[in-house]
Amino acid sequence: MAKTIKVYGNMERWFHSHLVHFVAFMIISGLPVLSHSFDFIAYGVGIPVSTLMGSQDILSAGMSFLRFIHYTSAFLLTLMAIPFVLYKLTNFTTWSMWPDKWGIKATIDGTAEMWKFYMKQEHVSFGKMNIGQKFFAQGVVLCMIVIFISGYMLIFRDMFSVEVASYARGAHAISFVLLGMLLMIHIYLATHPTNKNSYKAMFKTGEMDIDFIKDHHGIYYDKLKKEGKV
Amino acid sequence: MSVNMKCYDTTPCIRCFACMVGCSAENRLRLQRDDYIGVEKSDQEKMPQTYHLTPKRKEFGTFPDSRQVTAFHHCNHCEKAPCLDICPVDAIIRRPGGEVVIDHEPCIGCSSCVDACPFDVPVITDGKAYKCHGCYDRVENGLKPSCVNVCPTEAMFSGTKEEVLKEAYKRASLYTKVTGKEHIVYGADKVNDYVGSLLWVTIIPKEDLDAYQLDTDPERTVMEARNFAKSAGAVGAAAIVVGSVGHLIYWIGKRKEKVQNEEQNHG
Amino acid sequence: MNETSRRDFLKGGAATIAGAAVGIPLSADTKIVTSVDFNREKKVSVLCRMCAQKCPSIATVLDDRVVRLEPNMGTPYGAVCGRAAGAMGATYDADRITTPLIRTGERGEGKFRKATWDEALDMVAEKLKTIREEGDAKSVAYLPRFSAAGGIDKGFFQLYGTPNIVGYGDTCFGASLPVGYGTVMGGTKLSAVSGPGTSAVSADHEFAKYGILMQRNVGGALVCHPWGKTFGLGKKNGMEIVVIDPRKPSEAGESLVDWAPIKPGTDAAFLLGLMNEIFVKKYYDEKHLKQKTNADMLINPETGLPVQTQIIKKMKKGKQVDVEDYLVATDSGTSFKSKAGDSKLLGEYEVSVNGVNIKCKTALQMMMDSCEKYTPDFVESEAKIEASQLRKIAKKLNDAKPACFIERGYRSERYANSMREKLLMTQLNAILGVYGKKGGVIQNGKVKLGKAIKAPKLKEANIAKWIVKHDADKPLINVKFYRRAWIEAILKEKPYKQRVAFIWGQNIVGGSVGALEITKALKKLETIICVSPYWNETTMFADVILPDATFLERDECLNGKWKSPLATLGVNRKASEPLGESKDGYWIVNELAKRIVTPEEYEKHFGEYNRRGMIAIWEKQYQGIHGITPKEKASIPPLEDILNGRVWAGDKHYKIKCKTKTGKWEIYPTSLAKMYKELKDAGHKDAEFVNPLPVYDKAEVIAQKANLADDEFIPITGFHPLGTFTGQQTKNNMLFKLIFEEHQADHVFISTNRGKKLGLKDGDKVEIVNPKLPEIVSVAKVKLSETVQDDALFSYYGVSAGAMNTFAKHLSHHERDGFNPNHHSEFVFSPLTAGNPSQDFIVKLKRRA
Repeated sequence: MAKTIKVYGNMERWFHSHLVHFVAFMIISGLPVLSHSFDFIAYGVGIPVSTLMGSQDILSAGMSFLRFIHYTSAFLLTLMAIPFVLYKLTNFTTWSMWPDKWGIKATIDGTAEMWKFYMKQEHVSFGKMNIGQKFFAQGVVLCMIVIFISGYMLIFRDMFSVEVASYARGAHAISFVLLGMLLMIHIYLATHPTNKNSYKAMFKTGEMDIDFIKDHHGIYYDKLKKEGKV
Repeated sequence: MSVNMKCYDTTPCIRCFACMVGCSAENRLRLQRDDYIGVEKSDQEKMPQTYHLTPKRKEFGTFPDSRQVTAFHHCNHCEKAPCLDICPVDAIIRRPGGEVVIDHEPCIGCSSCVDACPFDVPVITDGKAYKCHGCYDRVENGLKPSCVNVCPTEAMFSGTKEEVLKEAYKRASLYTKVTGKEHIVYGADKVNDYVGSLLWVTIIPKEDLDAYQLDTDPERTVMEARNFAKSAGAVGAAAIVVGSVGHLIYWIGKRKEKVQNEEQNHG
Repeated sequence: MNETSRRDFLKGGAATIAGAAVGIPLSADTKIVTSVDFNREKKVSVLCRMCAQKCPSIATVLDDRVVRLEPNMGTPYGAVCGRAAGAMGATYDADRITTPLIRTGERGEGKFRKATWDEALDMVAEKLKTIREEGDAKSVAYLPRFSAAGGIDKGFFQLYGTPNIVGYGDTCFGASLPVGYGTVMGGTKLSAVSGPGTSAVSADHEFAKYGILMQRNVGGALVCHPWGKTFGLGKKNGMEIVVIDPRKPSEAGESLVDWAPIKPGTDAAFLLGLMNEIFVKKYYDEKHLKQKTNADMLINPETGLPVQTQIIKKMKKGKQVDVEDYLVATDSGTSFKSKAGDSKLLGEYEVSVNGVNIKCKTALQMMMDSCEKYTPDFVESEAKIEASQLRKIAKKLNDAKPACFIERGYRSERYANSMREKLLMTQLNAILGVYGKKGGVIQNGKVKLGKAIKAPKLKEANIAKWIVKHDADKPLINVKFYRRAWIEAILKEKPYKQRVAFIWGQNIVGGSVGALEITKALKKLETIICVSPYWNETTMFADVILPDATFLERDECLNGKWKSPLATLGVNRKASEPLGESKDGYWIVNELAKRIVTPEEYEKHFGEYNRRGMIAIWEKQYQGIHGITPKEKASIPPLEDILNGRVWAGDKHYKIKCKTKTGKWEIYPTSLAKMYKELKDAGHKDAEFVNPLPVYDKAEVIAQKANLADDEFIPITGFHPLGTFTGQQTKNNMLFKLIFEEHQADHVFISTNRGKKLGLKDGDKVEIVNPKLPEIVSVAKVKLSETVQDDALFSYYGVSAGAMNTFAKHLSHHERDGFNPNHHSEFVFSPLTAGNPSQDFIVKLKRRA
């Protein structure tokens, strides 16, 4: 009998790894537009760029270059996302981010489970994703949709009225802020020692110990058993 | 140092558009003088980016209680310029005389100023943002702004803020007296918190503010929401960092404790 | 090579750039060149020619190109309008004609080939010389308007031998204005009228309390210097305005400006109603009427003439002059005015003249009786202006007088009864006592200059003078401005055949009523020469086109004539070299003179110019300065200063000239009364049009049809603030494009009400046709507006190409559509004045399928 099981498919892991790179580029190139507090990024990029291009204004050269990075990353991310999204849509109903149980009680219970595990470090029974991860995934998908649509509207903002374009800009900025905060939590937890098996699964092998699953993701284990996979 | 102010008086204005044509001609001249374009070529093209003053005509009422009103669309050189605050490349500066000016060298045409301006002023043409710069180059050398210079009826006038407001209030009170309708100087007092007061004021019958498309509460709600999101995001991010570090420390401590307990139990 | 970059533009704000300013030094009265002009610019004094008003301006020149026009503030009323600000767009118009052209296709096709000046001039000269040698110089007509050779062009043609210097003004203010004004205030023989025209008087807007704008309002900024300026100053000083116009214009102001939306063609009805209201409510000052006017003159109602007159001598300015004295009624009977103490203004009296008892009335009584029927209700039903509004206007005039005015209008040849309108306006202004008063209407000043060419007087009278004697339908024709009568002369070959037209800047096809007949007439001519830097309808019929330089590219003779209360002296100097092969007008005339007149004549009249250039002309003009007070004359600066850009303005005189025989403001115009009697006695059908009493002689379009059908309109026009007469300098001008587009200036405007009835919406293409000339169809976009009266079809004058738009194919930025009423009108004349009824017909409008 197998000791491990595939929890993250090749498609998912490939997509996620590249996503990390693209999102990193997009955040770095987007932050200076959001706030002057991040001008140092533009300056940092701007010094070599303006020297190479012979332009006089460092901040402007840096921002122009960052815009180029941002647009390029956006286009490449789009290219990459299309097959992934199409692929994921084929098994739309089985996505892990859907709740197993609905309702306020289920939410409270799920949150209590999170507290039990991450604070009290007690034994809990999670699904493939705990409630926190589900909320995160839903939040990211929603923010990404808004950011994508508003982003493309902004690239082609001449096609819209000034008013509509400014709504797109607002939506882009607000969803970026939300996304940013979600990602900060996500990265903290993804790199947290207690989640190292998940990290290994996502970035290295794609697989997880069945025993570990039985121990920590009881609801998931039951599901797998029902499906005859373990 | 005193700031410069411009005033548009709707009463003696004869809608001759010398101001608008003169503004465009002067901007073409600037481009010519800086060798960006030849004189003839610049006078043979429409060059919409050179018109920093534009008319926005609207009709009101039904015959015969009807009229057309030409709203005078231009930068107001706000005391609190949202465009200046938002520009990501710091291309928008304020001259010592108070004029809000877009420097086209760093400008990358990102449209942030367009999004932020509640008066719909900056226009992006060929990748740069354009708007009235108060003819500061002329003013700083003792000349009048182009629109003031060419106005035939003293409907456009300029000077220091003190001079202009004095004259503006004088005219407004005369018009109020003669017509029996209250005339005000729009922009002299703070318009709202988003823009503050204006360095381009307008003498106008109070009842006509809407007709001349002069906003008494100019805002970009979306931009204010974005500003709120930024502040909330900064607070949120800080909280997350603190929370994460705090959680990590707590978790490690708790984990040590747990491991020690287990060792004790097994030991 | 300029080192400054755009960055420096930013930096250069604070720094001053070293080096003295280069260029013509101007006196302290005019603009001072400063270092912000970056050391490469010079300033030149010009007189703007974007319309015809010559507003004194300063051109800034950069590397031999004009880059800016601004007002010359050397007079108290220094001002220019938006057109001047965009003059560069006209001079650097890529579609400008810059080489001589010779026709290759048919007349009207607009096909030309380039030619050298020698070829073109030789061609023109040969034709003209031949005709002169045949002794037929009178068959050559010279039509000047935007002449670049002022001061010598007319003299040249007079020397050449033709009496037919055909002015354009019958199209604009024709005989109506001079007759309407002159018959009350004098200054002209009634027959063979030539003045006073539009430049005789100005409203003193600056100090007026109330004003009526009719037919064209000064806010449209033609005559920006000084009328646009004084109007603005007036508004700034609290002047109140009412605009009587079928369309509410923005230029009078958009806030708190009263608008009376008059039905097109009924201006006279409104004015009559106003007069009646003034009489009924006694809104006149009795003392003033007795002192200044002939209101108390006793008139024989049977003849319409004064009961009795006598010539007496009076001292005027140290000279003895003849004055016509007349009978008035007094407490003790009747007496001659000169002997009467107080006189009666009203009443019926009986006088014995040469043993005959004559029942007579005072002029004022007759006028009142005549006006009685023009009640406010009449005005409401005829002119569609509410009775209450009429009463309000009359009262305001009374409250404000004499600091009030009724503007005389401009480009006001519109209806059969245009003269009546002008007459009524003058009478009203006179009754209210506003002439010569502060805030009223005052005499314009001018500086009369020496003549550059003193050509010998001709024996032959011009065509118009012949018409006065021989055409019973045109006794009031203006003998200076008669281009449409000239067209008729071509068609009828009376009094003699016309063979050549030398057209300098006039656009007769686009600018006058009856374009179709006009083109027929032009096709009859043997040779047509057009001097013009711009394409227009008329150039399509030229055999030779000679491109003169635009005003920025040429010196001109001294100018002393403006429509200003201040006598003003200035000059247009050359700011930059003429583009292409275009030449300044004086060169052109000189070259023609060399080829055409005898060597003796040439030496006498052109020799000095040929040797010394413009200075020869300027000196002659300057030496002959007169027509101003000795104090003013003493203050005129040296010629050199004028040439360097100094504009001189004299003092403001609150006065008005009165040149009537009686010495009074003849609110009852006796000269007109004489003509009226003659015409009535001869049974002339149009006699009523010169009835001296205030009567409602109708516009043709009103007489024809009281109520229009759903698809019928009366075409009215107004000047766009950036448009000009026939639009040559503005149609293709890229500095105006953005604003024209914002205003949809090439559209036609009708009332929302009528538009909806026709199933139209904004932007629809419509076809416009005069049912009497159905072969001419205009296609234009329509805009529905609440600021247009129901019967009016409004279009901006001289902005769009209209129906006769072949010329537009030469222009890159001019659509071949739009509406120009002149293209559609029949070739008819207003009665008796040979006027130009530009709006006096009906057009039909429908959506283009």
